[in-house]
Amino acid sequence: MVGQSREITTGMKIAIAVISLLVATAYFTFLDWGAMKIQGLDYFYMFRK
Amino acid sequence: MATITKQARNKIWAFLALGTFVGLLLLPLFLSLPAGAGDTPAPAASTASAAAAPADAKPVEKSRDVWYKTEGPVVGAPAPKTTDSAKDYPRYNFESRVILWVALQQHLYYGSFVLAVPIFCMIVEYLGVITKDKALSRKYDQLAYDFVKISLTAYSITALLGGIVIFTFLTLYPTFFGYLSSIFRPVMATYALLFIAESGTLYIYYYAWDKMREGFLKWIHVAMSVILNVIGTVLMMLANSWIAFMQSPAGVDADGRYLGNVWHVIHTTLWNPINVHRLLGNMAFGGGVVAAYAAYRFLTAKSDEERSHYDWMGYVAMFIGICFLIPLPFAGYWLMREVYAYRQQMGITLMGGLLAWLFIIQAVMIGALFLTANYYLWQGMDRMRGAERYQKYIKYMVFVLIMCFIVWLTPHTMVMTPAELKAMGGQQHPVLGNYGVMSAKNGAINTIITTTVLSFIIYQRANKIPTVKWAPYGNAFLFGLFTMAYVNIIWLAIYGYYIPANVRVGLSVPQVASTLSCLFIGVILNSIMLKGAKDVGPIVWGQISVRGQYALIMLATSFTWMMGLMGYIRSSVRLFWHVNEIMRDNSPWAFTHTIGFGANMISFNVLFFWLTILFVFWLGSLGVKKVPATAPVGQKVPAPAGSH
Amino acid sequence: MTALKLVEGYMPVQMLIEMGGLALLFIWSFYLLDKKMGIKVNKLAQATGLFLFSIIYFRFRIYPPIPFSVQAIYATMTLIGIFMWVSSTETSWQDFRQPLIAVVDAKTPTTQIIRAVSVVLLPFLVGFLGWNNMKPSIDEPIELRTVHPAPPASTKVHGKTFVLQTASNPYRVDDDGKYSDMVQKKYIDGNPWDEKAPPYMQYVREGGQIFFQNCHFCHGDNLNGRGMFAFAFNPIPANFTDAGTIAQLQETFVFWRVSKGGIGLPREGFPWASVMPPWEQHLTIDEIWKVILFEYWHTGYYPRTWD
Repeated sequence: MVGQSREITTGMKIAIAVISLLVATAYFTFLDWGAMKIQGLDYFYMFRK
Repeated sequence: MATITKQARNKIWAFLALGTFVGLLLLPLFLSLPAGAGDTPAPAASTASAAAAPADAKPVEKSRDVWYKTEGPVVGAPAPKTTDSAKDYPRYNFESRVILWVALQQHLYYGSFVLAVPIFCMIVEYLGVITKDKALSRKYDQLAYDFVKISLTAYSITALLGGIVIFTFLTLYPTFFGYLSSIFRPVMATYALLFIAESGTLYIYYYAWDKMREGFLKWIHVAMSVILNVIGTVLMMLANSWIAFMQSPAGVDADGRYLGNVWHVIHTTLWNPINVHRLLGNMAFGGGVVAAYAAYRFLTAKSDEERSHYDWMGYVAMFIGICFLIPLPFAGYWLMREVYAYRQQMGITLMGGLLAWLFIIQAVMIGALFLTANYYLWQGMDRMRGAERYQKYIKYMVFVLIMCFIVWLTPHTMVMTPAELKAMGGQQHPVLGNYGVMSAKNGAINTIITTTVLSFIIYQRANKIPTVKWAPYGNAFLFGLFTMAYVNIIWLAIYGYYIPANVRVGLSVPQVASTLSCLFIGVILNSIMLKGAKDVGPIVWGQISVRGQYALIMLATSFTWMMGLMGYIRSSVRLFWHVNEIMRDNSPWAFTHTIGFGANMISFNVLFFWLTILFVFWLGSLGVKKVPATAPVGQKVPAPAGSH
Repeated sequence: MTALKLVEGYMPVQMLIEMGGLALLFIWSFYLLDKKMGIKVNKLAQATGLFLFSIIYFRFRIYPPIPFSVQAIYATMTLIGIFMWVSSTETSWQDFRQPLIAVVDAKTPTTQIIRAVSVVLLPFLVGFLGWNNMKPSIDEPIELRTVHPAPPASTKVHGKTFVLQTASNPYRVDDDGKYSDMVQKKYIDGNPWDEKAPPYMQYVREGGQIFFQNCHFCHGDNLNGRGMFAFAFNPIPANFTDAGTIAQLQETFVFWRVSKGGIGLPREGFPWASVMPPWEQHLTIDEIWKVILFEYWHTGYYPRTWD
């Protein structure tokens, strides 16, 4: 199998999972902000005084 | 040499045929334009004459458009003021509105079916043409042919029902019909001509199927299906313009006098949202009906080949139907936004006032649709070895779906006895009241759709092990994407409670964007990952529980019922108006029916439709000799593009 | 079950988390029983247990008690979910069916007894349900009340016409006297009794005075619909702290309801079950706007706007 040419340890798996979670978080935050922006609204409304 | 010249000759003939064809198609348009100007006091003619001879004609009266606010010459009579009399509302000893209701609903069911099925044909025939595998290609082609055959009978029934609708309208609501046709005269003429063009195209498309089987002619045949669908869609849009005008009139002044701009009359504010919503709805409905047909044939099948064929057909139809179901709530949302923008009152009557109870029923139906779709996918995993790896996750998905539905179905205003009201201490429940508002509903439905996407991705992978080098990273990314999408959707739902309404309504856009991200990124990434993946076992078509097939029938019935319900809601929101704020309904039936009566009528219509369509199916099965060449059970048979 | 308190403000989320946790507990306990202790619990028993448990949860855990119609919706959803779960795979479906089939087949003495008993009891059960359903009830009938009927396009108060779509509260103003959506957020923690309070806060204070002179007897001093007269009415007065009342409405909608009261409800607002007086007979236009301003400020909700 091609995929197993390099061993992937449990630690690496966790690292990959955490990184992908971070990437997804960044993506969705950007999406939320952008989707509100194009409507002329402020996504961070509650956090601004 | 000889063969080449023959091919070249064929090509020329094909081009000529196509050219003639297109020319014939455009003919009605050319005909209708001068015709409209010639015999009706149409806009162009009257303004031109008014401009040319202002001296001897009496000055043209100008008036203001109710919606576009533009000035225009008055060319029509004001909307008639009807009275409750035999002149305006001739009647049998029965409620005229209910008769018209049944006629219109049946016409709409068949109409949407015959508009949707050619679109299916187009897609499936195209798939057949581009598929390299000969056997597969023939299978697709046969499927498309079967679709058309069903739709042909349904087409004549549609025309028949259309006639019944017109006669019912003319005999029971002559004054109102007279007014509508005085405004839409050129549109109605175009409609009739297009209908003829549609019939012609459909018959040529069907009967030339065998003659145009090979080579370039096949492409022309495919092109013909495109033209067929273009005509069909235009037909639908023209018919939509009438109902849109009744709901949100434009192009007339406050007295209902036509101002000579036919485009304004067609292009009312709700026209395009209704067009989009109906087109998508027709497709989902058509998919449901064809899937139910396949399920019916599966359940009555005698041999494994038959079962295998109809299982596959049901899957394809269901798949296309669901593809169009997913964007449907967003189209509906757009329509509602436009309704609110047009008249806030109308929006509140729909969503919070008089008709709100019907929307709760609608929510139940949407719930049934998505649950059934998920259930069918899970049952479909029985076809594949290797699916056991994923089946243990089903219970968690069931749980998420049910939780969302509990939120989704919690009514804003609860049905309760006064004693219960006292015990609860008010109309609103301190816990559940929070599930009754839009923020929670949006969160719930987006979670449901995301879960459906997840179900589909799992279905795609059920019998496959990805072998690409980056598979672990891809899996991790999919995991991250879905986890964070869920988190994001729920977070936005909660966040909505803490910010003002004008910011809150905007949150639905990022929520929808999250769902769509999962749909597109998830499915595409998964498909790429599964390229050249290791097969654990083939898809054994026909090896699915009967429960899965009943799910398909349930899906189709839900579609039909929901269509009846939504049509009823859309129509009754005009309350006591024929044309909203222009022409009042003074018949004795200008009241809103009770919910129970409405529901019974819808059920009656659904039952009637299914009985008649069973007849159509039966007619279709009479001509079928045997199931066409199918792959033996256990062999790989195609699934729609994108599913594997 | 109400010993464990629902936390004010977090109740909806808390309920979902609780249900999630319980479901996981349920799944894992059967998993542990099966895998670690070798006790395999039949799917039918699991399903019945889960269903009964959910009924008890909805009936007794959620407080205040929810009406029967909602309980019925929840129970149906749970039942559908349970069905989807047990029939999701063929093995689990066979496991679920097995006891039922065994009873119908009745090959052993035990199943024969169960079958005989069920055959006798089932008609009685059906009979009881029929009787229970038909038996006349002394409860008042259910009324489908339209809580927020569609408002008119405009309303006339003290001879002045207000177009509901465009009118705005003249006291929702920033320090410079211009209309502002943001001013409530700005002063949400402000002190209305401050001598140097901005104009907005002054209006809020005046609105509060009007509220406590006129409205709080019914709508309560916490604006939660629990005033001293509240329970004399049926239905009880609107609870402004609920997310479903003024938080869902435009300020002009509230203005229209306050001015016209119960007798001014439109045709759509059947069964017109409201005893609220038409306040235009007692308050001036300005007083009505101010009291609305106060209600929003006090509850922390923002009026609905359409753009």
